[in-house]
Formats: sequence, structure tokens, C-alpha cells
Amino acid sequence: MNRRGLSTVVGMVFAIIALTTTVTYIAYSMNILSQFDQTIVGQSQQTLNQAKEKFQVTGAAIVNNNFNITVANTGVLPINFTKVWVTDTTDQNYGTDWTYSYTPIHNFVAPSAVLTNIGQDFPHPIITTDAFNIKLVTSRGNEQQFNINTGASAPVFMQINASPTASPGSTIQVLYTVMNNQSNNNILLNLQPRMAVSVTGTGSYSLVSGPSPSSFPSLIPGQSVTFKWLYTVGQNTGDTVTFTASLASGPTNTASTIVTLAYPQFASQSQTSLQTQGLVCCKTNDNTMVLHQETFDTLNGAYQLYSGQVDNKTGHTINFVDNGIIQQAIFDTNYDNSTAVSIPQGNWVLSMYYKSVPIPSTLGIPSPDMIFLFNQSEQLLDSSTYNNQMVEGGGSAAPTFQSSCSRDSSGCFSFTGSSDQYLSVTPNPATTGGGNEIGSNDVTVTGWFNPTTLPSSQAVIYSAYSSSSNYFTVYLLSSGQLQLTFETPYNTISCISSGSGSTVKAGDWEFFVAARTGTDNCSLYINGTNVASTSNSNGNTNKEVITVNSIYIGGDPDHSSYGFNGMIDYIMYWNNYAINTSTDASGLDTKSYGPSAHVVNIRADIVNAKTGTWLANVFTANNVVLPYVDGAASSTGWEYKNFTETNVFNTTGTNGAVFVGTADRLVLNVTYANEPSYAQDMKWDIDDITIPNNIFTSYLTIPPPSQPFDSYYTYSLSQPLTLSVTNQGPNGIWLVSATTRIIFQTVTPGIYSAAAVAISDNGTGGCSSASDNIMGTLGSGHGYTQDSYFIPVYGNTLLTFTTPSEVPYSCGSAQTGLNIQPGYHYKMYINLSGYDDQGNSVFRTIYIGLVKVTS
Amino acid sequence: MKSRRGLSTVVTSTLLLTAVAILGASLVSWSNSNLKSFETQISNTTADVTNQANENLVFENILFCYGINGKCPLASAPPFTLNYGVNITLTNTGTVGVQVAQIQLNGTSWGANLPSGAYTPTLPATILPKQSMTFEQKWAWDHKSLQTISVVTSRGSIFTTQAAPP
Repeated sequence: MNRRGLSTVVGMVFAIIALTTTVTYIAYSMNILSQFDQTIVGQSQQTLNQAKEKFQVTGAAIVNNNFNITVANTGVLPINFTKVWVTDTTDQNYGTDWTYSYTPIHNFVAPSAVLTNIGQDFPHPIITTDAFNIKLVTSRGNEQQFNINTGASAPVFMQINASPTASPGSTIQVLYTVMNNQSNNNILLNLQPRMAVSVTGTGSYSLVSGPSPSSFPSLIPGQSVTFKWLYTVGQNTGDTVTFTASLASGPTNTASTIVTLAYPQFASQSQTSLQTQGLVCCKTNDNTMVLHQETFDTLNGAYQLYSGQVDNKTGHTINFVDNGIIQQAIFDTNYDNSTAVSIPQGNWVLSMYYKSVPIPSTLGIPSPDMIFLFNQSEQLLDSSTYNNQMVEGGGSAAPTFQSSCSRDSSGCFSFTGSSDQYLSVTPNPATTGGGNEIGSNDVTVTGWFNPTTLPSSQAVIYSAYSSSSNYFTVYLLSSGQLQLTFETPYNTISCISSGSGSTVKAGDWEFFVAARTGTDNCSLYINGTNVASTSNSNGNTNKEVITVNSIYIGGDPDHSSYGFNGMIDYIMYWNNYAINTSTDASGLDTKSYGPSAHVVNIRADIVNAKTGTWLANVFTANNVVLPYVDGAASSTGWEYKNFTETNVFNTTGTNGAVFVGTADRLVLNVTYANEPSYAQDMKWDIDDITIPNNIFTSYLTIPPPSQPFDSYYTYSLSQPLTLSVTNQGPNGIWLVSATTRIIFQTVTPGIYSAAAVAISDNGTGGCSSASDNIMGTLGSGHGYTQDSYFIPVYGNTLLTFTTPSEVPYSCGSAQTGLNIQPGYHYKMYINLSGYDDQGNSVFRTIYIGLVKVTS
Repeated sequence: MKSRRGLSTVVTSTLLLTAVAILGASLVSWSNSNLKSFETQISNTTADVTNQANENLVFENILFCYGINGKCPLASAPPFTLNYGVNITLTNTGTVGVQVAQIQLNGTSWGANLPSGAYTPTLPATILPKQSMTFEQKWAWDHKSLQTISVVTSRGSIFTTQAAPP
């Protein structure tokens, strides 16, 4: 029996071996499967991450002669850009000019973040006008590529919009929209709009402002930009003005539109306006506070500001410096303590319409007869009223205008000293020298100059010649001295700078004043210091005349070796005045005509309405810098209407809620800051209704108030309710009595709105009973004596209305409702209704503003 | 007398045990051998499949060049007269090294019918993980015609893309 157990043991051994082998094999297989699973999962995750990685090129430009690419991470994973490929594809016929790749330094962008300046470290020089294909590659292998300047001449979507008809003499807005719809994923760079304008007949046009913006850095596919111009069109009905817009480079297609000058064909569009008690009505907003010249019912006789219409007077200008005294511009709301005004948190925007004075009034120097400031795009424009013409001489060697090279960061002209490089001025009129003659008066020429190098012998800064070779010249000498020499038929006088401050250095901006004084004497100033004065010694006591017919700056075609090497700016000339004091010379020297010409403080406060006691500050903006605004930008001289939009200064601040109580006023105060000595003077235009389409010349925009501030207009129930209506054409208009109304909208809970009906026209017509024309006494049984009142083109009429009532009544109807309530405020509207002499309907509603009704 | 009836129990048991031991040992040895073989096979197969799955090549850039002034270096190098070429930059975004065994351009193998020096580098070429490598060869591409490019790795993965010359 014991021997039988041995085979069992052997069997068990084999069974264990077999079992162990099986378990080991299964475990191994499972391990292998697990590893494979991990691989698949990892690979899937990588694929998933690759799909989740998303970015968008939001901008591309060429900055500092290199690429500047902006990318937005629109996905949920951080992105690491491992490679940037740049291919110069300008030579499309043969593939590529070159291809380089590099790893950018700025290469990481978090989800929802933006990465800028990609490509600024591209290590290879580029030709900025070439075409490029750029590809961005991420660490996960995703890529995006786009083109710059590639196929840039291909057409893009362009649209130009302007009103098809415009009233003669009006100012119209022209909008030019460009959308990048090129199919090659090309980014358009440096879009510079151009506008060509042509007119028919004897038509004319003038540019008021634009384009705005002047250029656009880059336009990615699908993006659009709109440029805006304002043009004033001519006066002749029937003329057409064709506007054709294009881009200075890139897409070559154009867009155009035609504007026909015509008076509006429909009376509903006619220029009906309305006058009453000094108001010219126009649409207004409750949150627009117009600045006015009137000072009625304001604190201390200050200027007044209210939410209403401008008056019918001519424009008004505030001189911030008047006879040497700095003025303050203080505007108060016309408020009568009846209702508190709550103004929510929001932006307060002050729009100032101003221009700069050419010469500081504090110096007492008259304005020059020729001013070349070189600080605007019209760099060759004479900023005086004489319209002297300047051209760049020297052909290819002409001096170059630089936009920000001068001492005050405005423009100037740069000369290289080339033999025939100069600016040439033709006096206007040339026969008499215009404002530039050297007659029997004192004369002065001033200017700023900055020599790059001193000349080997002498260099012309300013020279004027007559046909008989008499001259008036200012030279820079090799020693750094200045020399003024003028030759008349009888005298030759020279002033050569000497003593302290008499020499100039290369690389410094210097200011010179060269004057002929007295009986052909001369004086010379450098940077305000008198460095030479010479008296005529030949006994001649006359101021001899040099009939100037040619003027040169920076060079002289008759003296080719006298070219000036450096920069020249702000040449001014007086034909009847000598600047001959250091005070005046240094005063001119220190003034700025650049982007920081004016410095003002602006603040708004809440004060007690009666005492003026300060209560709270609304906002304060100190040391607000304003650029110089050259009045010569207008073709008609110092006219506001042709100023560009950049003349309007906006300062915006976010403020908390403002509460103006029943005993308070809102006061706006603008003054010169404790300005640097070089700051320039300015004039601020308010209340000028002569500016087309810009009746609100200067105004303060506030967040929508709980109710508007009072207008000027107060309606007294003891007086007839009258309004003067002017018809500015083009058609004669009948206003229908029964449907022409004035509406008073209540702003007080529990008080009803009221309306009044027109019942007479300039005292005629009206009701059939004379007593009906007396307010509130209309009885039954009476009717209108005429249906409507005719107003010819450019005519006006004084409409008389019934007493406003809750239930409006008119001739022949009895009063049944409650009349308007004295002591309350109402929003006042006029509703004009009728027909014109071409059968068109007339319907127009004009908001007058908030008025107070008195007994 | 009883002991003469046949083989003794001891002998019989010995024979039985010997037979069982021999047969058992043979069976165990055979099965182990087979299992080892299967294990090796599975291991190799699994490694191949896993590595192939981890292969990930990206066509980072394809440049169709024309051999003037060094724009297409190989194509402009004498004595070759063909001026057209193609540069293919591949990036290994996977986790294992990739050996590029073959590149096909519109079905034609890389370097076919071209003398040595008209293409570079010589295949196979290995790209380590997270690294890029540029392959260039002379190639008469046509303007604006669609080109199919395939890359075959030593593990048998095939990556294909299409591109069009300018």
C-alpha cells in the first residue's frame, strides 16, 4: 500500500510544474498587454493634445526691420513654439529666394494668453517690402502658416460710402472700408488710404479732416478697417463730386462713389430750423453739455454750460492769454434749485475746439508775415496769411522733411550741405515781395537751426535777393559765428556775432534773430543773447528798399559751396518789425510749437449754487498736454471750420456717481497749468454755429443724468408761447395749424404732460375770433381763419401756440383739460407738420431741452 | 511458489516510475521550450508594435527650391545640371527614435536614378525624439502641381503628405 503513494507524489510534482508554468505565462501575457495598453493610451493622449492645441495669428507687422507676430492661444493647453520658418517668396516664378528657420526666444504662450513680438529676434536681415511666407511650428507638431505681402496686389473687398446727395456747401463724411478677403491667407501690412477727388462743372471741394486713422498697421484675413474723411463740397447745385479711394500699396483695386450736390428732395429732410429767445434749435442730448458764451444767471458772470442748444449769435472765442493776462474759462450749469440731478458713474468727455496762436501774446510781438513751422504734413505751408509759396530746390538732392526731428519733436527740414540743396520761397505776390519785402521798415528774420557740421567757409541759413543783386543774408561761418549782412543800393551792413554766446556748436539746436533796425542798422541774437549790433556809418538816414524777388533757406543756387549741413526749423519773417530786445528774442526761443505746445488743467466741481462754495470734485485732469494746431492748415487762413478733427481734444476719466443737489451747480474750469516756459498760447472756440456739422464746437459729455440740466429757455404762462421757425429750403413749406404742436413732457411724478397747438403765424391768421388768440380763452363756435401757414425758402415765421394743456385745445374747442403747471420742469419738443410746395409731407420733431414753466 | 507468478512488484514499480519520470520530464521540457519560444515571440512582437505605435513624424517644412545662387544647394552643385530640388524637414514628435528607411516622391524612391551626392543624407537615417532632420534631393517638380511625399520607417510606419510647389 505504501508504494502506491509514490506515484501520487510524482503526479503532484508534475501538476505543480504545469500549474506554475501556466500561471507564469498568463501573468506575463497580462503584463505585455498592460504595456501595450500604456503605449496606446500615451499615443492617444498625444494625439488628443495635438488636437486640443489651438492658436490663431492675430497680427503681423514689420517693426524695426523685423517681423512682429502676435499669436493668441485659443486652446486649453499651453503652447511652445519650437520653430519659425520664414521663406522669402518674392521670386514666385522660381520657388523661393531663401528659407530660414529658427527657434524664437519668445516661444511660450499660456491658454487664453497672447504672445507678442514673435519674429523680432529673427536673425537674418530682411527686405521689408519683400513677400514672405511664415510658418509657426509647435512642439506638438501643429503648424500655421500665413503670408505677408504675398500677392498683395490682388484685389480685396473695398467699399466707399457717402451720401449720394449733399446740400451745397455742406460737409460730408466719406467712409472707406477695406476688408482682407484675399484667398492666400495673406496679411496686408501698413495700409495707407488714398483719396482722389474729382468734381464736375465749376464745383469745388476742400478736405476738412482725414483720413482717420491715417494708416493701419496690419489687416489679417477676414479683418476690416474703415477710414474716414470729412470734405466740404462746393456751392453749385447739380455739380458732382467723385470720391475714389485706394491703398497706397498692396491691392490695386479702387472704390468710388459719386455725390451730387442738391438740396434735399423731400421736405422731411429739409433744413427746417427753429429759433426762439436766442436759441437755434437743433437736436441735442440730455447728456451733452454745450459750452456757451452767455453768462445770464451764472455765478460771478462766468460762462455758462447747459444741456441744450447753442444760441444764434456768432461764434465766440476764449483767449487763454488776453493782453498778457491768463484767463480762466469757467462754465456753470444754469440750475435753479428745483430738482437734484444724479449722474451715474461713467466717462466724462470734454471736447475742446481750439487753435494755437502763432506768436505768444505775452511777448507783444506782432504776428510774422511769413511763418514756416514745418510741423504738419503741410510742411511747406506758410502759416501766415500771406500764402507765400515754398518749394524744395535741388531736384534729387532736395532737403528732406522729417516728422519729429526738431527741438520740440515736431517736424523740420534736413540738409546735407549738397551744392544745390535748398528751400526756395516765392513771395506772394512776387512783384512786390508780398509780406517779405525789405521796404522802408524794420525787418526781422528768425529761425532754429542745428548744424550737423560747421561749414568749411560759410553756409546759408537764410538769404533774400533782389533782381539788382541787393541782398539780405544770414550765414553760419566755419568758426561757428553767425553773420547778418545786407546790401542796399547805398549801404552794406554786417553784424558778425562776437563775445559770450556768439558761436554755435554742431549738434545743438540754436535760435537766431537777425534784424535790420533804424536807418539800416543791424542786430543779431543767438538763443536770446544779443551777440552783434552795428550802426550804419555812412551818413545815410534812409531805410533803403530791397525789392526781394527770391528767398532761399539752407542753400543758395548762386553760391553752390554755401550749402548748410544740418536741420532748419521755424523760419519766420517780419517786414515791419524789429525784434531787438533779449526779452523778445529769448521769449521766442523758448516757445514750443510741437506736440506739447499747450498745458492746461481741467476740472469739474460741485459748488453751492448761490455762494459758489466748493462742495466736491467730479474730476481733475492736471497738466493736460495739447499739440500745436496751426491755423494755416486751412486754405482760407485762420478759419475754424477747416480744422482737422485732431483739433478736438478729448480727455476721458472714469469717475464715480455724481450728485448735484437742489442747491448746487456743476462747474467746469479750464485754466493754463503752471506750464513750462516754452508752452504756447491757444484760443478755445465755443458756441460757434458757423462750423458745419459741428454745432457743438466744444462740449462736455456726461453719463446719462437722472434728468437733464436746465436749458436757458423759461416759459412764462403770462406770455404767449411763441417759437420762430426758419425754413432753409429747398422748398416752401406750409405748416398746418392743427398738427403743428409743442409738447411738454413731464419729468415730475403726478404732473401731466401737456401740448399746445399752433394758432397763428406772425400775428395773422389764428382763430376766427380775436379773443381766441388770447391764451386760455378759446371758446366754442370759433374756427381757424386759415388751415396752415406758408414759410418761403429762407423765410421764417413766428408761431403762436395755445396754452399747453393736458387736453390740447384749439380754435373752436373748449378747454377741458388741465393747463401746464407753473413751477415745474418739462422736456420741451416741437412737432412740425405740414407739406411743401412739391406736395411732400413735412414732419419733424425737435427736442428743445428741459425748460422751466413760470407763472 | 507465489513469487514465480510474474515480475515482482518492485520491478514493476520501478519500471512504472521510470516511465512516468521520463515521460513527465520530456513533457515538461517540451512545454517549457515551447512556452519560452512563444514568450520570446510575443515579446518581440509586442516591442515592435509598441515602438511603431510610439513613432510620430511630422512634416515640419517642405521647400521646393530652384538652384540659383545657393537657394537650392544640392541642385546647384556641379556636375549636376538639374536645378530643381526639394527639401523636406521632418520632426520626430514621438517618444522613440525613428529610422527613416525610405522616402518616396510621387511613388519614386528617394535617390533613385540619381548619383551619390544628389541627395542627402544617405538612408536610412535616424531622427532622435524631439529632433528635426532635413532631407534634400534634386527633383524636377512642376509648378503648382500636387506632389505626394511618403516617408517609410524601418518599423514599417508610413507617413504621407501632399504639397504643391509655388
